[in-house]
Amino acid sequence: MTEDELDRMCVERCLRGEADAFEGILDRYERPVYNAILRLGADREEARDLCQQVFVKVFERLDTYDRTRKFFSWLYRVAINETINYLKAHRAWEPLSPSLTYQHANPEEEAEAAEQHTEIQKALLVLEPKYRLAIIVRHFLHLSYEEGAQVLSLPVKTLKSRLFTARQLLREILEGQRHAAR
Amino acid sequence: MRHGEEEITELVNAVVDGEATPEQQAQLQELLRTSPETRALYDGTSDVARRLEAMRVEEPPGELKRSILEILRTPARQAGAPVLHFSRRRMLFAAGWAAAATFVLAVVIFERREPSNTGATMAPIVATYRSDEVTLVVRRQRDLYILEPVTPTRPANVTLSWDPEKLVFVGISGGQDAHSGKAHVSFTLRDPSQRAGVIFRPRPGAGTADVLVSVNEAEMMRAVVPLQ
Repeated sequence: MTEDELDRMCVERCLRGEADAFEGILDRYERPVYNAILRLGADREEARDLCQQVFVKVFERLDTYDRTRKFFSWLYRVAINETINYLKAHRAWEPLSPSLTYQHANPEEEAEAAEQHTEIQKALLVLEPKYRLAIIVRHFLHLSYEEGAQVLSLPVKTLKSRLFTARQLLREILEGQRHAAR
Repeated sequence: MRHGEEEITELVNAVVDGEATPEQQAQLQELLRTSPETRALYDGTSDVARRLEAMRVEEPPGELKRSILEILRTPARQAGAPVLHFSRRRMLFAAGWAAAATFVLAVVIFERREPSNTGATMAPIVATYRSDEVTLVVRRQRDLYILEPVTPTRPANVTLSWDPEKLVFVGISGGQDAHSGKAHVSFTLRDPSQRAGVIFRPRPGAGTADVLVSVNEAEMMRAVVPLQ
């Protein structure tokens, strides 16, 4: 059974009153949704609250889900819209949380990876929202061009173009960071 | 853009993203052999893509899934039937919300609340309600409900009103964040039909309790708090 078929089965069971069936949806999508919200600019506390809000909202509106489309496409769209609306209402869009670094069991071993992570995170902060979204659907939600374009309501060609520009901008920003660090 | 550049970026994108056809892969291989510019473009793009893919995936908080499922299991909630109501209607408060039987508390929130580490705020979230003016986070700890209004970064007078038969006022806690110096506040209410110390004891007909939130005596939100 494909993940899409599993999703549809969970949706049907939820709509029949089996709320516990939603656990299958959470198992598959809690992590990508939480991470996408973080990369969009929320801090950890906000990401936790937003993630909860997104899943509750999706559950409550399962009857409006268009079965001809993939479930995750709808879910990610809700998650992105909820997060953007929240960030617009609560702060300027641009500032991400630059302190989204990781605590490691062995900081020395992980130092290089953590530094790389922080560099990229900082570079993402600088991108315009439309470019950040292109990066998120492709690299953090791992969607195909078609799927990503559907989530963002864009033509595939526009998404490809934004993705290309976003990666070029990131490259320039990363190079700038390296020069600045010298 | 010169003729051909668009085609090259399309090829580079497709190969880096693993969406290239065998023909496109062959085309790019040929270009990489003959064009240093294309080679530089491809190397730069794939380096950034590799670094993005290597970013660590953060694990969601352990209690998140459990708290979501708890919300979904509340009697008032079912799939395909929203129970959260958001309203900016000023008249809601005046129009028949049993004003005689409400408990009203007002507090001035000076700034957006910063994350705090008090025991109360570690209680699991049972609901979050948002409007443009205010966010209300509701946490539950045994028979206690901890309500945390959060406003955008501006001074605000926040008023909470509720039916005292459904929720009993216990206290307000607040303080100043040691690092940021910003003020935060939380209201603690108790479900009087619950016996203290009994955790999540289901009871028939628990239903919900309405909490009205107003900001600067105007904008308003109605939060339907699920009781359990």
